[in-house]
Amino acid sequence: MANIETPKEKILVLDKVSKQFGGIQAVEDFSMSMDKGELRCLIGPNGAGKTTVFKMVMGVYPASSGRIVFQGEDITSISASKRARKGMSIKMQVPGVYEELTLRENMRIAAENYVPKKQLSEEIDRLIELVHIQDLGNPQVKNMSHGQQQWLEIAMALASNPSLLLLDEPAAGLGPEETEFTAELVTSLNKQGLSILFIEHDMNFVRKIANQVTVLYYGKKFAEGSIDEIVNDERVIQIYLGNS
Amino acid sequence: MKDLKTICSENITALLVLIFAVVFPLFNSAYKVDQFTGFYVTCLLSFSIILIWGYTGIFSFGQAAFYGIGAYTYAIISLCSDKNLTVLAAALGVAIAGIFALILGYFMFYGGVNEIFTGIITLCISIVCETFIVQTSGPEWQILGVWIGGYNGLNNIPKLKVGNFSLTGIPLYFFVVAVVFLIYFLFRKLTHSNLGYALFGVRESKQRSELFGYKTAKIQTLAFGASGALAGLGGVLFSAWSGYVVPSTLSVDNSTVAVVMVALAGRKNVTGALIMTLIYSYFTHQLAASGNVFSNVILGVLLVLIVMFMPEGALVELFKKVDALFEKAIGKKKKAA
Repeated sequence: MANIETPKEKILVLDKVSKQFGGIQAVEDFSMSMDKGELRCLIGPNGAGKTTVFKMVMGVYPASSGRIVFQGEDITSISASKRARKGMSIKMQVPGVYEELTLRENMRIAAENYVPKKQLSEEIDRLIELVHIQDLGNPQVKNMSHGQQQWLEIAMALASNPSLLLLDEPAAGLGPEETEFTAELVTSLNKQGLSILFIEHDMNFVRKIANQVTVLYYGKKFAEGSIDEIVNDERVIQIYLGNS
Repeated sequence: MKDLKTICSENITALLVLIFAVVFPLFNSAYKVDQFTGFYVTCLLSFSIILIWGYTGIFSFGQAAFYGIGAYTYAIISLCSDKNLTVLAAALGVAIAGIFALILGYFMFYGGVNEIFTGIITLCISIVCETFIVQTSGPEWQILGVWIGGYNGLNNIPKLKVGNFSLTGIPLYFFVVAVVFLIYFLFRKLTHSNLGYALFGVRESKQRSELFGYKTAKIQTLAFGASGALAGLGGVLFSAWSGYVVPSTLSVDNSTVAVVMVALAGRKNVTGALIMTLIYSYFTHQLAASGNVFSNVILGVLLVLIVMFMPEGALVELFKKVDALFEKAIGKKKKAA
């Protein structure tokens, strides 16, 4: 395995990471690195392997080969729960909230490993306010709208005060106003120093907030660069954005 | 008025059941008191299912096996010597059932066995344990000099004796009631604790909890061990109360009835489980005493109806309905004021 540099200012380094499901090669020799405080987007057509990369980073799927380095530490073989405790957090593609429980119960489950019991209620209030769902009261989560569930999940992901936040399609299924607010929220979190890696299909959303973009195609890195470089790359337009 | 709003029907019902339990011996015969002691013992088996299925989301058909292990351990240790070893026997009964569940849980949850197979494995455990005990009728099957007895089981098991005080009749009734309500209140406390929320998180989504930093396999294993110990405690008290233990104590039938009682009440609600166990045990006993052999048929029909029309459980739905009516009444009063 190649010896790669993992300077401390890199929050995340993926070194030739691959994932196979039986005979299907979902991700192949994918390498990528992110600086601390970076806001990067991972794009690609459906089935390109974006969510698989996220799940390998979080430890849901073990990588078939390659190395994952988080804040200078090789985390390739450690469990998902240990990775979470090391400071990475995720909002999943399908809202990963506990639907049968209430809003505050969800927040409590997300926060209680990281926040002292005495400050728990206060911290939950702060996070709920941050994602603008404080006026909902304490409903059962299954009665909340899709957008509200998305924001709740972001609040839950923030409860561990992570160094790296992974957002899998944060704008999916949202209306224009909701998307606008989500873009503001993500930008504001990034401005506060949080490193964010997100997957998104909505290119307007990506254009609005991403500094750097990595393009994944058939499980391989296809292109990488600033948002302007990517949207003007003929090859990317061809495979992903379409000729229009 | 604000205080009234915080009173919920579940709490009121629990208080009424506690009062009923305390005053029951004052108005009933020694026979009835003894009968109800057995019903309260069964509540511990239901509680063990609430912990593992209702709170942690792991479906188990094996609780009767742990119940039986507790019962047999108490019986064997207390019968093996002329000395009073009943307290030691009780402690060992709980410990061995708990350790057995812990070891089984370790292999299941660290081995990544999914929910459906957990049900199947625990079902097999009950069958294996019962089959094993059934074939111990030969004289070679002795533990600490106590013949296990196969189908006939063990009889003349000593009552629980603390010092020179033997727990029988009303003292045993109050002891069992105290144990049941102590555990009931621990459950209610657990519901609002960090540990409780960790269990609920694992129940609702194991993967999501893992991603919030929970060691889910460890949580499931410990919960399974604790539920085994709780069922074991039920078995110990059953042995001490009834004075006998037979292989059917460990049977799948026994597990199934407990699972059904919990499902009927509402698997996430410990008050419901307590009440349903008492009601079901009482009516089964009454039906059996009247020569009716259809108690399980009635239970089955009730289960189908409740799963179809009240999937959260009959008593949970009832608590919700009463609370809604109560809130409506308070709202109307406020408006009028």
